[in-house]
Amino acid sequence: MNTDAFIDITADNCPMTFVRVKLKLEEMSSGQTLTVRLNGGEPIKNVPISLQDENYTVSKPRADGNCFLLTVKKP
Amino acid sequence: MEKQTSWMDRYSRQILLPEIGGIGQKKLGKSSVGLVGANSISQPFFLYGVGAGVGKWGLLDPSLSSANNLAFQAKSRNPNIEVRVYSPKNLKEDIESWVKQWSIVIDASNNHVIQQKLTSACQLTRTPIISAGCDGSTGWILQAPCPFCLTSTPPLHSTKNQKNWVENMVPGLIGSILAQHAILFLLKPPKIASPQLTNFTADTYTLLNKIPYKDPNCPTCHITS
Repeated sequence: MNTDAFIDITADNCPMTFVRVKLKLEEMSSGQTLTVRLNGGEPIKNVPISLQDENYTVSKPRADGNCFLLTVKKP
Repeated sequence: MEKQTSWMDRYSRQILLPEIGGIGQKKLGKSSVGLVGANSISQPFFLYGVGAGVGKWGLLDPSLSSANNLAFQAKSRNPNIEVRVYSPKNLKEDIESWVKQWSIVIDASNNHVIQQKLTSACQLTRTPIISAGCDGSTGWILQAPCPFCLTSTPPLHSTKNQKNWVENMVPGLIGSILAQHAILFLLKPPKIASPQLTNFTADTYTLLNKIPYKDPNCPTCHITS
């Protein structure tokens, strides 16, 4: 899937996972999409919820090896 | 990269807040505050403001040792900020030049004469100002006062030298509320900052927030409103 930007947060722990995604999204324009590569466990549980709380549209996570990929659309 | 990571680490909890975020945090970093008075109101205000990441500070107080002590505490709390200490002697009569260099002036002098001078200078230079003061168990925060209204209906200023628990608690609380007021102001400056008073009475734990503050007979407010 083609998206406008990509970020890998597999090296980060909570809350820096969401902080990095949020800062990346703030640099982007309305309507653009971001692919987020993240770990299972706490990140895959919390990051989509936090994004939805801030009105971002979040796709269903897709498996990517041991990690997951999320697509986020900026409102 | 390392600098960016430490910035994110330091302010991560604030960046997470929807009302601040990364944009707001950068805005705070570029903001500057001219703080008048090194006392028990300005201490909590200063430390919270410094902790929140307001980037540049000017501390004006006749007691250079008190101001330097506060500046030292602030730098220990957040070494990324810039603090400069000023003495009123060096300013002479040029208070306008001093106030106009700041994003906002905070008057914690708790002194009516100083408050009037600062308010007039801020009005002339169109610099936002928030004043705060206490008297016994009552404290107040005054946003964007009009110098004429201030002359006709001044808020209470400390007239006592008693140092009981109530007086120690009230300035601390007022300083903390003042920090919140100023941070919100810096994040989202209102197009027109209307004169508003916030009152706190410790005896009854009553906080009256944002009461319009003007004298109905004020010639300036009458023309501008």
